[in-house]
Amino acid sequence: MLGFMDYVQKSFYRATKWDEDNSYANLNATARALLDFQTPKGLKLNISSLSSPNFATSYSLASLGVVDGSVSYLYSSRTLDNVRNSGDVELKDAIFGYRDIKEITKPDVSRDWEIWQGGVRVDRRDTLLYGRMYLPASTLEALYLRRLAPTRQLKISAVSNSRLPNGGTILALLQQDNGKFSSEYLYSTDVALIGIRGLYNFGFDPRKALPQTPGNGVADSRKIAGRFSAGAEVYYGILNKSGGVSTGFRYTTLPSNTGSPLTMTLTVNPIIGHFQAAYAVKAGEGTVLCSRYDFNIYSYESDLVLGCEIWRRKQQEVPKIETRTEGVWQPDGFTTGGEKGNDITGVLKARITQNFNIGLLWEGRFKQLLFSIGSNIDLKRRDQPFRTVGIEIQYNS
Amino acid sequence: MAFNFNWHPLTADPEFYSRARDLLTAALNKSPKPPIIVADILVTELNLGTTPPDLEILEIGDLADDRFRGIFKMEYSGDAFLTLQTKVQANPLNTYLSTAPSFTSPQPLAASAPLTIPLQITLSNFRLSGFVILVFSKAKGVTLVFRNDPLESLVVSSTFDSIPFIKDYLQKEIEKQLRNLFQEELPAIIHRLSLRWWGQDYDSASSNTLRSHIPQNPTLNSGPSLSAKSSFDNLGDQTENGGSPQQQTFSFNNDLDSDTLSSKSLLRLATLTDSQRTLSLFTPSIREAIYRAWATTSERSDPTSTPSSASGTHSSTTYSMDGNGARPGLVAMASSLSISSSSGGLGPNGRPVTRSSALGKKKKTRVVNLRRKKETSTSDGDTSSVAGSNAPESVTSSMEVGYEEKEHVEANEAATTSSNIPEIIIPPPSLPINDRRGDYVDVSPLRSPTGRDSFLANRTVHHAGPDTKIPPTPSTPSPQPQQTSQQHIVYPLEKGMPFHSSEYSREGSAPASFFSGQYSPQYQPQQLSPGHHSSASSVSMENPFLESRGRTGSSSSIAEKAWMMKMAGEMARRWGEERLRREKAEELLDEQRRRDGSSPPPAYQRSQ
Repeated sequence: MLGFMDYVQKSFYRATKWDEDNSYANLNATARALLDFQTPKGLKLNISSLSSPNFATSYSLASLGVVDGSVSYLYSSRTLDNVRNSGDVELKDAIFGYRDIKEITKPDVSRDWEIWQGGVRVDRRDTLLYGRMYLPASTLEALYLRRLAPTRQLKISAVSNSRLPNGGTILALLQQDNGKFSSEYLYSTDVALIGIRGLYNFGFDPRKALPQTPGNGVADSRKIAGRFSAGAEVYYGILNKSGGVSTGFRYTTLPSNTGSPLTMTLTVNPIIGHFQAAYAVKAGEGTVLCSRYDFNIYSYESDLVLGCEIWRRKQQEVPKIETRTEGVWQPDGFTTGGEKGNDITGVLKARITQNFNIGLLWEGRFKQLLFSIGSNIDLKRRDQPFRTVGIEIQYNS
Repeated sequence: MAFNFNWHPLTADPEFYSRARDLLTAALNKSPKPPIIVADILVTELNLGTTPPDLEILEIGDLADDRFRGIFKMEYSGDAFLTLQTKVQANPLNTYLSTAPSFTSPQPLAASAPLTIPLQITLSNFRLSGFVILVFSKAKGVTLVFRNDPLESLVVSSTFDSIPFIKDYLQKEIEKQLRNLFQEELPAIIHRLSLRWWGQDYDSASSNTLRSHIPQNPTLNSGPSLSAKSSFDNLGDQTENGGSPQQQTFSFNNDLDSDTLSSKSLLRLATLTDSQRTLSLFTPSIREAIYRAWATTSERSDPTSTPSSASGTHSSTTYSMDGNGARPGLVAMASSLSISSSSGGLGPNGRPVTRSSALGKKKKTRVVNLRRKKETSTSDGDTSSVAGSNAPESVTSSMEVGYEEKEHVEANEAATTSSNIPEIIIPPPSLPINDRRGDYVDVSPLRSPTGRDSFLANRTVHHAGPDTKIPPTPSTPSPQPQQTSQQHIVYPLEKGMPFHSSEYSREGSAPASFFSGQYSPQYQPQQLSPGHHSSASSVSMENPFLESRGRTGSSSSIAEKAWMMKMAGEMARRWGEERLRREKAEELLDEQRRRDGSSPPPAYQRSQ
């Protein structure tokens, strides 16, 4: 489940029209959401509130043997009107799941952001400040996020902890998203790591798209099929003189696709000889199946993970669904589903690895509370199969 | 002085390498591993090579049979090698990210994909040079500490030799780890190894080399008895007869014994010290230990034939007496052995003072028991022999304590008396014994007054002896010492378990009663073990015994001397056997007694 602060941050992205998914780092976000989800451990309580459209606080308390917690504050210069409380929030927004990749859009022209008042430019760059203090671990997390331009965003995150080398690290990330391609440049103080990553979307170029008219429907035939993206990343640690390289490819259907939505990704690390292929498909109304296969050509190590995600909808919605399924296989039934996202009452996620390690997660809403119950089960250990069990409860107002 | 370092025996033991491998593996996996190592480190091959390290002795701080402390300069450039196997993370980005906080992680997509590679590292061509502090103690094993960083160089060859970067990295990392290993882990490993090792060899070695060691048990209890024996051997040497089978003089290895203190004994010692530091009147009973209270009493009473000494002698005498009572024939022998001592205490002083009214009952009952047994079991000679054995032991123990000088004096007296009296005293039959016992009971407190009493008691005994001479006659006239001696020898041999005889135990209890009054009931089982008697009784006796012996030798026939030596040997042997046999029972009894716990210190306890 998405933490409230992450949710707010997402809302900030949305408010500032930043497409998170158009980044090489999120190339395989779908597979990660379906297969690498974290199961809660112990009991965790989150109480958060957006006390004003610009300011959010969140408190969390976790008890896993020892009680610890965190206090976090967030400030956004942009008024966040799209943040909902836990009773109203769409579960699709609050839960990581199958990522419905939106069609890339043409970025705003920077001139559009300018606000002139009395001959003086008064517009400000939208900024988000976020701080989180972990107690009693005495770890401080800080985030500075700034939309430098319609196509540019600066993200500086820092962690301060006395146990870390040099007392902490700072990561600076400059992101550029032109729609057609995006690039990121990062620098981490930890080992003086420099990184560049980029993503290029083949096919349709929104910048050259025809001006969309409301009644036009399918304006550009090139949009229909889907999108193929390719990207690469390069890292080099100056201090430890080591680096890493990877390249990745993704094919995903777009909302305009008529078939079952699916996402395929292939990432390759040529240095390490690691291949990773993931395939996720929406098999029905609320079911997503995903599989991922890892293989290393040097060590012949392989791994296979299977996962699924089942969305549970409200009971009274059933007839409606039936009526719809009676008809033709409608593509719009698989659209992002914003209009009927609120009838989702919960999501069951399950994964199993080739080691028969099973992860189960049930996320949903109970009255005004968001909860997630999860367990990690290791079938190889018959005596004690339940490795972790946990519940996380979130209340946002 | 020469030291012989054996390098090969280490390697000769087929299990050595496997054990060492296990220990090394455990040690290597104990400390937190660098994140690059993603699996346990396994020591697959270990070879100490054929070239031993050069050791230069710089200093020897302590040197003894059982311990050693020294400083060496060690140089090693041998052909030992070590092969490790583990798995490493070949992707540096992955290891970096595993240690970095996730919040600032650059979150690479696939650049941090893991690649674990099995890695085999062979460490060879060790060049070591350093100062080694070696401390060895039989009980504590070997402690080896490097004073400085001994690692000069080594060659690391691995699966990644073709990649210079990784090779350098490994070399650096391994050297770092090895330095840590040498200075922190290796001492611990060696210590553990030596403990296991020594634990095995220790017993066998001791049994082989020192027969006198056999009875030794790891608890404190063995201490006094052991020393008693050894001192007994010493006695034999001193007497120049050399008749005792165990010729080896045994330096008082009390420290050794103390090293092997069992936790139980330690506990008791701790309570003892506590009780001394506080006003607590509780003194834990430690078997075969000599309480200072007794010693002091003996010292005090010295001028007038120490009560303790008297008691000691008495204990021995009593045994002999009992034995005599039972077996007239044996009486003589007993007298020859222990009577001398007893007489030493009593003879010269011998002032008959009747004593102990209430005690008399006790005595009587005991006597009755004894007699029964005697009647039932014809071969009661054992008891006498036992008594005899006890006497020498007691002597030795007292030697340890260091009362020798006084004892000498006494001994002289005793000797004179014994030499003079042997046969006379022997006769005292059961009755006198009883008296004595009663007296002893009084003596047990050992405070000066009691000492006086005891002294008196002794006298009474002595007198009683002569008085009661008649009673023994019914059983049998005291035969000649030599004859008795022969009998003695025979009996013990015949009887595999002399100590088991109830009489013996009774007798044993009796002496205990002297010292520990109330203890006696609990103690009885222990008392069985001769060692205890000796410790308790011997306080003052030992030297007297020696001297008396010498004197007796002079006064009595050489044959008797020889017999005595034989006896001594025999007794020692049997005593050892008995000890072994008894140890378990003693342990149990110990437990029980501790549970009872309330037994007050003999010194502070009024016998009744």
